[in-house]
Formats: sequence, C-alpha cells, structure tokens
Amino acid sequence: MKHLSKELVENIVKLLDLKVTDKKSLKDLFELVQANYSIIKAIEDTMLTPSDDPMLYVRYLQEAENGDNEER
Amino acid sequence: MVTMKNGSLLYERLTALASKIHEGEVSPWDLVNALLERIEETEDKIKAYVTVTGEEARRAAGKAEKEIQRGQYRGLLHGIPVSLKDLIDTKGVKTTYGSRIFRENFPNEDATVVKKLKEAGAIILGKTNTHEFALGAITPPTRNPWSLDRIPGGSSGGSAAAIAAGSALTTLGTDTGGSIRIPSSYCGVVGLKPTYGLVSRASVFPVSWSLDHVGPITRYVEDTAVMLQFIAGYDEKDPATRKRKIPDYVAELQDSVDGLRAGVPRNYFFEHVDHEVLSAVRQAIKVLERSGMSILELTVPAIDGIMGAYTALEPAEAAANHRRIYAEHAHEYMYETKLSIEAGFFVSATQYIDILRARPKWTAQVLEAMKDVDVMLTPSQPIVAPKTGVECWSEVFMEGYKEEYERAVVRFTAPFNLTGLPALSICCGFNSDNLPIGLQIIGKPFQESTVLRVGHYYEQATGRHRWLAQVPL
Repeated sequence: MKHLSKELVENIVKLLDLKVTDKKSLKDLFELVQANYSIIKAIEDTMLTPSDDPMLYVRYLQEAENGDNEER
Repeated sequence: MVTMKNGSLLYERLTALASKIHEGEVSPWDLVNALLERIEETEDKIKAYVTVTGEEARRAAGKAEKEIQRGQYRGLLHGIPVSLKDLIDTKGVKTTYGSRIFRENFPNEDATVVKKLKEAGAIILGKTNTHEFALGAITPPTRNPWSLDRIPGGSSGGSAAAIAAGSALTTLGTDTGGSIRIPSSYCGVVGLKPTYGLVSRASVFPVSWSLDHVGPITRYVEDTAVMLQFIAGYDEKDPATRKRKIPDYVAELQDSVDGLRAGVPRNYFFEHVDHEVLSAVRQAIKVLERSGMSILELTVPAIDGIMGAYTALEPAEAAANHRRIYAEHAHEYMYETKLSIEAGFFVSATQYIDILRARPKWTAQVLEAMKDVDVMLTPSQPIVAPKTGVECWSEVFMEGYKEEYERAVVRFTAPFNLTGLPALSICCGFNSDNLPIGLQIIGKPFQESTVLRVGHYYEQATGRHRWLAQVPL
C-alpha cells in the first residue's frame, strides 16, 4: 500500500464502496488482497482456448444431471 | 480420555437408539431430558449452543412418543433429537447466522433439510454455534471438549463440539471450504461434506453459492449414513440438487471393503503436515491396506489452479451475497469478517469468468486421476486444533513451515468444494497431547456409499470411535 498514492487509495475506497477506511484497516485489507492474488494468479496458468465458454460449467452440471435422472 | 460408559444413552449409535425407541425400551422424552441435562453440565465450558429449544423439544418428544405408541413409527430418526448449525433456518426459532445483526431473527419457514428431518420424526434440540456468517474456521466462543484451551475449528464448530461433549446425539453443519471437516477433525468426530447437489441448501444462509454444502456431523460413520438417508435428494428450491435415486446408505455400510482401491496422493496433500498427523494418517492407511484394500499412489492435477479459484470464488461470492447487508451494517461485522468480504470486492469479473471456464476442466482432470481408484485418502488437516487466541490470519507452524491459519485449514479440504466431490473426515488417532487427528476419505461424485463404507470399516477395525472426550466438569 505504501507504493499507492493517497489519492489512488481514496479512489479505490470510493469505487469499491469500502467500509474500512482507516489506515491500519486499509493496510490489513491490501495485504490480504495481495496475498490472495498471489494464490489466485495460478488460474492464469490454466490452458484456456476461445472455445472454453463460461457456460461450460452449466452444461457440465446439466450433463451430470442427465446421467442419472431417476427420482427417489 | 475415557472409554464409552456402558449403558449411556448419549453415546449409543442412532440405529441402536431407534430400535430401543421403536420397542418402547427408551422414550424420546427421556432422551431429550438426558441431553438437556448434559447440556446443562457442559455448556458453561463448551459453549456449543446459541439456542437450546428445551420446551419445544420436550413437546415434540411427547408427540413422538404418542405416535410410536399408536404404531405410527416413521423410521430411524423418529424421536431422535437433532442439533443444527445456526446458519440453517428454523421456523419460529432464533437463527442468528453467528451475527449480531441477526440476533433477533426468527425465520418464517424451515430450511428444506429441517423439514425433511421433522417429517422423519426428528426432534430439534437447539442451534449450535458458527463462526460469524460461517466466514471463518474458529467459532468463538466455543471450546474444544478434548482440551478447553483449544478451539473446535469451524465454521461448524458448535456442532462438532456438541457431539464430542456428548451434548448432541447428531447434528448438521455446512461446508464451503472445509467447515464440516475442519471441526470434525479437531473434535475427533465424523463429518461428511456430500457431493455438490446431493443435499438441499434452501433456506441455509449462503457463504458462496457454488461452494456451499450441507452435511451431517455425528459420532459414528453409521450415524452419518442415517442422517444422509433422510436429508439427501432433489429440492426444487435448490437449483443445484439433482433428481437421483438415493441409495440405502445404512444397508450399504455392511458391504466389504475387500478389493476396493484407494489412491494416496504423492503430491500436495502430504506436504507441510505436522509429523504426528502424518504418522497417524499413514497408520490409518496401513489399517485399510490390511483389510484387503489396494493402495495406489496418484498425482492430483491442477491443484494450484483449484486453490487459486477457491481463493477468488469464496470471497467474491460472499461479497456479492453480503453487499446489501454490509452496506448498512458494516459496523456490526467482526473485523476479520469485514476484511474477508472487502477482499471479495477486489476479485475481477475476468478472473471469475476464467474460473467458470476452467472449473469443469479441473474437475475432469481430478476424476481422470482417480479413474483407477474408488476413494482417495489424505489428512483432513495439516495440524491438530490450535490453542484459543488464534485468529484467522495468525500464523501456524507445521514442521518449520509457516502459514496463515485460514489458509492452512482449507488446504486439504477446499479442493473438494471446488470439484464438488464427497469427502468424509473421521478420527484416526491422537497426538501426544491427546488431541484428535482426522483422516479424509474422498470419493467420486454421488459415491457417498463407498466413502462411508471405508470410514465405517476403519471405525469397526480400530474402535477409535469408542474414545470419548472427557470434559472437566
């Protein structure tokens, strides 16, 4: 956070409608976000092609459902 | 540590109690009173409950007793008291979601799982503590019955602690990244996160829609099978649930495990684990191998992507869910919950969409890795229950490896929330401080019967389930 200007931090707080606004809380929040990002970044390494449509997940669930459609 | 008291109703298997209730040897009234007495004895130390519905439970017990006497016996849960995590709506009974904001919340209807339990004749005994909005794995102020200076884990910490303390016969919890299996491991009890879509989450306060599951926390694997039998199945109010035939989970426990194949990951799941946990889990695997199960090594693929996706999805969906309540009541949230929610506001739409695109691929890759096995075996947790005072972002240590508590506890559990696979935690031993250690048994989608069968065999073979926490009174 120390690399961010005061103005930028204020803009982030406003844009995301953050409720934690004091310096200590923002420091804790930005550290958490940064730590999360270091883990989230791994999704960028996943091989995705333009045909990998986000609706794939919905279809995946539908196919799983159609696989066994017998009522109790 | 004490062995089971002979004849104590509170430590009997549900099937044994059901048989006694059906035969008139035990009355639901006596059972409810015995539990209320135990709650009275233990609650000032354990603090497992938010609300105890003693009078309502006594009334329901009287009604159940009359029905059974009239020959209207409904089945294994008829007259059995059940305790519910306070994230699950109960009609007319205070349901706080672990939050001060909902301290006077009395829902207008029961969650689907509660309706199913009541239709089966179960008696609601009370609501158990959860971490605030289930957004953490500590569950203050609940204590661990194995050692009162330890936390029970969370977020379903009240349910697991109540089972360990003998102040509940059977319970329900919820699990978004491990919230059933973490406290089950720390409290030495049994917890099942079923396959995504097997059990309805309707009228259960959401943490993260695509990761949330409802499941039992019990003393015995057989009790988990009984509970699952009654709560599983399609619900039009939960779009994730599937129309499937529900197996006879209790009957299928008796099938042999001889010939089953278990995969033990050679990567990730045995790294950065406390040495006593590792030793107990390796011993448990040997027990299963001696039963005739084949043990095969396998590699779990895409684990970095899966954990990256979990780390983005959970706060992003929680932030979307809380946005409106949070806008008005931010000052009433705990500090760490605030940070968790606000961190969700930083997850980008492109990241979220990429996760949707990659998620079926990762799940398919994990299932491909499991193609030659029936189940996978891992530690439930890398550590035993930490001491009270630990905070969400406190550092914990595993053989010199340092990690934040909230990241360490989901490391072995969250992958199966993201892939939706069924995962069971059972007690597989104790460390030198007499703290329980959990073994995680993971299955293929909707193969709960196989997972439960392996857990049941382990319990029967070792008798571990007969060891009980001794709550100092």
